[in-house]
Amino acid sequence: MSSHPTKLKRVSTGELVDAELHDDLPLDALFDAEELWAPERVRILRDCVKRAVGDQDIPQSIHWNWSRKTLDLRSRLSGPLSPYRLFGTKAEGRWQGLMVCCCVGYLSKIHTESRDVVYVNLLESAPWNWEIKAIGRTPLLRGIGKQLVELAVRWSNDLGFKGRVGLHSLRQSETFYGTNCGMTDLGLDNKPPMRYFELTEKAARMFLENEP
Amino acid sequence: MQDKRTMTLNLAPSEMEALDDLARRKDLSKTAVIRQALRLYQLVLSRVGQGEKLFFEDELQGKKSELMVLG
Repeated sequence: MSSHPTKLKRVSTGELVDAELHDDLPLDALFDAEELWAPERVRILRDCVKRAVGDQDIPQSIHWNWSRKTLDLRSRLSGPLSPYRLFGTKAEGRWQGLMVCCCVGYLSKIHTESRDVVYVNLLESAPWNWEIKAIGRTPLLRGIGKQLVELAVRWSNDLGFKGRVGLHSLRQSETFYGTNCGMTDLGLDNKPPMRYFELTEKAARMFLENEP
Repeated sequence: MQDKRTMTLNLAPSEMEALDDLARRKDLSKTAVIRQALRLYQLVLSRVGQGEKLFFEDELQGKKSELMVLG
């Protein structure tokens, strides 16, 4: 596992907070994260139910459980040559965001030739960093999602994929990937029934140039 | 990023041609092609070693065939 320092913004004060970007996390990190994230998910859901928030405004990843995902991932994260890799951002002693990517078996849907992409299987920031307008919640820290996407772009570069990254987005995250990250929306895919977004080589260069 | 080591690879002309062709088709360096091939090979062996099977499927023609991998 390697890590390098970064900064995240505390939304309430605007101050920059020290953080670390990690790649090649061990599975144990998922248990550490979920131990703290699960109670926060319950608090959020309780708040949403209490205030009769409609289904469409409840965070779509509210039911995710990273500790349970270890069951799928344990056979896939097999050694340094595993096509799967686990990334995370840590600040103030706890995981602020997690991401799983895969580098084998996913081809660009933009290129007509056979071009590989790094595929983002899962990406989530810690529940205390979610903005939920329906219950008046503001995120504690901001910038996690973009920094995780940056790790995917850098891994894609290391592999010779020229920064190409693809993913299927939850409905509530479509604006983030399309507008904030500059990914191309290639429309609804049947399996799974979600919109597919891809970062082109040119957009990847621009993405990295715009990151501090 | 892990430290890297250099090695000499002895390939027959047809093997070198295949590597060149893959590198060209995938727009990757030859090193990147070999790295991806290693990942894929290790993935297949690991999954087959856990008792899983590898299939090729042609949905249009309704064909499905198992690829036998000897671990």
